[in-house]
Amino acid sequence: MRGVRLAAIATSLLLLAGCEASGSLVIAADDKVKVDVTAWAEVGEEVSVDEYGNETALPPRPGCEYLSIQVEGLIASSEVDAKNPKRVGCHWTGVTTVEALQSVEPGAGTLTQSDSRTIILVNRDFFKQSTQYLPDASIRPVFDLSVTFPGQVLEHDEASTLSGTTVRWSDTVALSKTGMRVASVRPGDHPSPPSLLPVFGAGGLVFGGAAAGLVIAGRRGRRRLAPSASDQIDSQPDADAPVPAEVEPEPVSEPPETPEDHSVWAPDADR
Amino acid sequence: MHPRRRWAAALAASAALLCLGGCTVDATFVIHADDTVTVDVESWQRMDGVVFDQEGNVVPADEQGCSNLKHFLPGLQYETLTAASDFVPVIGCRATGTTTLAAIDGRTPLVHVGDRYVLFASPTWRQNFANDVSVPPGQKARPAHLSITFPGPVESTDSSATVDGTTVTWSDIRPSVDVSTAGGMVFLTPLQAIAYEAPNPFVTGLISALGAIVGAAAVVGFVRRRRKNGPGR
Repeated sequence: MRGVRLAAIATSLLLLAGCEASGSLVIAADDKVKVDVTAWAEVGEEVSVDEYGNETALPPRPGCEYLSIQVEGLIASSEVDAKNPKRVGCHWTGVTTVEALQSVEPGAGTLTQSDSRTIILVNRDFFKQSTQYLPDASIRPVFDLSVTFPGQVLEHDEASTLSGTTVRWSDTVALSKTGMRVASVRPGDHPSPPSLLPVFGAGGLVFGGAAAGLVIAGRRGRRRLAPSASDQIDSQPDADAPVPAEVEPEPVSEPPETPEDHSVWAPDADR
Repeated sequence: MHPRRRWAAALAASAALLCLGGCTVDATFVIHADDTVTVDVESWQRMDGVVFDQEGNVVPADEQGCSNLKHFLPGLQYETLTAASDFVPVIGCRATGTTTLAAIDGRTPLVHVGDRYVLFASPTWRQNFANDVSVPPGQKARPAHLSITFPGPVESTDSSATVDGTTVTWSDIRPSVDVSTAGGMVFLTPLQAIAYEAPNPFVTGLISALGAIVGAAAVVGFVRRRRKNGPGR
């Protein structure tokens, strides 16, 4: 059994960024993942205090220092919102692998794989946290994330839209009700347990053969012990062409057995 | 809300499961093909002076044992358990009964997605059990134990699980660390399992029936051939 692989870059990025993120993840059939994601966080003001207690405002730290996620194969570059200097971001680009992403703390969700499925799960509570403190219902965190899977998408949550094999989320309020939930097919898919159907088929084969054998043996036995008119009628269709030839061996073999039975019971008769 | 506080709140929300102040559980879930779940959970936790429920209300001392289980596993029968303790006062709860995956969706890390059943319990979730609360002496519950029986065969699990038939068992769900082979990084590991749905009864029946017909036909054909060949010998 192949172990479950774990990757969680998307959810971790979201978690760290307070749910503001945009970009895409493209998962290839060979488990390589093309990443182009920017996450944002609004940082609080940091000040330095000198020996006299005077405070001096410090410039915001670079976004990638604040959102410190390093993944093999990805290049991280810091960004600052031109309209709001306190809003810093980090932009990750490049190609990595599902395996390389395993080192990222999964947090509230996961991108996981089995042999036959790729699954994304993020708890809706995570998105609730990011939306319940908004001062205005019309304000929605910047969020536009798409994930392209290597195979058919079997199920996706109601907060997402599906185009081909790409699932896209752009509404955190909707996500706060559903969470992220996607199941897609991996190459080499097994729609059902691969070993069970042949087992059931073989079981049926054995059962059918055994049942037919028992029926045939039962008919023969009845014929041997008490060949009735009905048995003879029943046996005629089975006999096909060589009817006389088949009937003949039975009387030859049966009568010698009858005396043997008497000898077996003889001791009881002596008692 | 400050981003870091928001992050912390999100972590707390994802961590909130079964017990908040640290506890130990012995949990058994049996998932049926119709997505009903038979549950048998026993939890033990410290008895604290003031406990708040998920809505922020103060929980009376005698209800502390079951308040979390009632929230995360609603619709079951609950029994408060008490035990003498020489050191830390503890209180327990046993929740039993049948619920549905839909009823516990988002409250437990168990989901039915696509045609698979998935358990994903994050390292943060496992932090619930990172404490020294233990099952009181004389109680039968197994400490930090989780067992899930799926309707269909198990496709994959994390390395800490054991599989017996369609049942996956974790004998110690407390947080554990793993060392990445790439770079020697240390990271916390989640609990994971993915299982198939129950075999489709129609497909299974059809294949079994076809097998039976083929088997019966083969035997009948074999007998007839023997009969036909018999006179010639």
